[in-house]
Amino acid sequence: MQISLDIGFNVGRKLGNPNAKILIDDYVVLYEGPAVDQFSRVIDLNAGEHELKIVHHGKTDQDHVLDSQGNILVDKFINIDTIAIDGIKLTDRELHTGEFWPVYSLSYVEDTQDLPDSICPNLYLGHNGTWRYRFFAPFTEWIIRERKQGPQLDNTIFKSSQQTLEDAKSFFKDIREL
Amino acid sequence: MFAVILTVPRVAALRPSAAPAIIKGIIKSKGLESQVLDINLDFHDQFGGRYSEQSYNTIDDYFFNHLKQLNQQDQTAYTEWMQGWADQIKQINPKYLFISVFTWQAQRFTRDFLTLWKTQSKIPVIIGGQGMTKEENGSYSNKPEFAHEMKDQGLIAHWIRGEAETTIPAIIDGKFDTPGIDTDTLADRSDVNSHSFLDFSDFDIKRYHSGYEQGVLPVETSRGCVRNCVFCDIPTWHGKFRYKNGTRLSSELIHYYEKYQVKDFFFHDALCNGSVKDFKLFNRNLIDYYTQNNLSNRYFKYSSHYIVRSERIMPEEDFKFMGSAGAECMVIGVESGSDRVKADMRKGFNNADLDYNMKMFSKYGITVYLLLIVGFPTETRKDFDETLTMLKRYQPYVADGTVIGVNLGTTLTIEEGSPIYTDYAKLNIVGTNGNRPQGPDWYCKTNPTLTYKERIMRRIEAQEYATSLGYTFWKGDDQLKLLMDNYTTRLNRLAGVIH
Repeated sequence: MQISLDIGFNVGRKLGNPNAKILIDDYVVLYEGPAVDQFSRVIDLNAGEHELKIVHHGKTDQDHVLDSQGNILVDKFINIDTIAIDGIKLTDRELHTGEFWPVYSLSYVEDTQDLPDSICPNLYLGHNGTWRYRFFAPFTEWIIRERKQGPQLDNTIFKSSQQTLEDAKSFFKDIREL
Repeated sequence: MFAVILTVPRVAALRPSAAPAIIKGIIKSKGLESQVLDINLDFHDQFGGRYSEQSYNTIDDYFFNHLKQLNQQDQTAYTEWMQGWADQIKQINPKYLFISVFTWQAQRFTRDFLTLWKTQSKIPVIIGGQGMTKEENGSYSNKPEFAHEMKDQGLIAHWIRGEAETTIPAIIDGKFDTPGIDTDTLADRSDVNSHSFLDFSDFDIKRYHSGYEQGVLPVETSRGCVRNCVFCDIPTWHGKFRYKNGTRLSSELIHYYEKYQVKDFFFHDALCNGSVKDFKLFNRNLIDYYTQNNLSNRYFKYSSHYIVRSERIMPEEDFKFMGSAGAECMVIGVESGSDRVKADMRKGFNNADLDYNMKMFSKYGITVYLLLIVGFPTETRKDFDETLTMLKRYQPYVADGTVIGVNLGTTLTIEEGSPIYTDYAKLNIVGTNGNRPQGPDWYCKTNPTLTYKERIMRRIEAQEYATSLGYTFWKGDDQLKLLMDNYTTRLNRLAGVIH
């Protein structure tokens, strides 16, 4: 099946363009090159679970400027602003389920203790690393179930149960015409 | 005490009913006292706990499934519960007892209660409401059969047919020879801009199951309709379209807010945007009120029936104002995904208009509840497939929360008062078994495979499909039970004919 993917980025380019890679799962590379502000693509996917991966790579220790206290003044980064799949924009809550697995630079590891293996929620890809978002295809059906939108009618007189639907199907299946 | 006014089962207890509040407002304007009692709310809130949930569910089914009978235990609970209400009314000892028979689903309770009441009290009963007809999906009939039945059995003193605004004052003055009182013809129609505000002072507004902290109040924006859809009886029932001007309507909402602290409203008439000019004025007035009182946009919320307008009639700015004023959920009679069928229905809009409206609703945070009709006489399988395609097309609006539900009804029924009832021959419709086409008992000579069974099968298919797409489906259980009930009744009738 086909799904459409639209991603909006905010890219920190003052120290040069960051390198980006966008993949689905481990094998479908959708984009590789200098980070872009907007990425759109229609792709073929099998039904089932998938993972969207956004990779920031090639950043070096020279790709940020620090003040005397070690605070970042200028950075090379990729920030994920928006993602829409099949035209459905992910909410902030949904974007924040994505997890960033950084690849820390050696100097950063030496200077900082107890670095986490992954960061969630995080949409700011300041380190090299991979941001991962898990989803299912077909996407729309899945996200509707995930969001559980709308009123919950189960215990109200407005309810529509699967049991009554099955009863009706069975009742009318072989019934004679009037 | 001039009157006790009852709201009776079966109706969803989402908010106070409008009719008792209208009647109370009119009585008050004449300097008299009345009291509203909501028996329906008590049934939904208390009955299960007082007796048993099983009894509650059984009696709830009994109200709308006319083949269902109660066992002795449920009957005992039901009678005891009704007796409690009868005792309470007798203690108040009003001059009149008014009962609002909201739909045909209120008939069973009304009949049972009045049978009990007749043995115990001489206080005269007056009934009114759209439930005085026997139509399942309609509100109009040439003869209010249920009212006649109640009168013939001596269970009521009078009925009101049509508007309270012209009949209740006559009753107060003792003038029972007024149009609409004990007549098959309708009451004289009133000027909606001169109506009293509704009086909700007897209602515990927060107790209703609205899901809103301060509760929800019903409000009318108009009577009648600007359209004349072939299946609809509203123009016959309510006459020429009459609407409250935008300033009058916004003042009414502000009055309810200031008096009852309610911020959420449901417009229970046929449409809020019949007069586009006044609808715009209403929205702008609310926004001005928020600004003047340092309130945020969407401080009030309103939900309503709504008719689809073209981009030319309602440009994007109008939706923006709607959103800022507080439009929350629009109930739209979409009916079909086929433009051809919509044209046959005289819906007055097409799929392109609907797509535009849906896009605007999504953009400005306004939710939508879709009403569909399966099995219109000219609906072919291809037309029906276009309805399914439309459901698929709008699936992203389910995902983004714009579409909060879909309602498929019980297939197309031909109701008295609708153009299709009078002009059935234009669509090549004939009744089954030699009768006049009415209710679901019809077929179309130029679309002969669309039998009642086929319509029901499509209705079931549409529910199954919509559910699989993730739509929240409303009233499916009630409607499917009703279809099985109706079909069984007809099979039994045929069997009787054969024997």
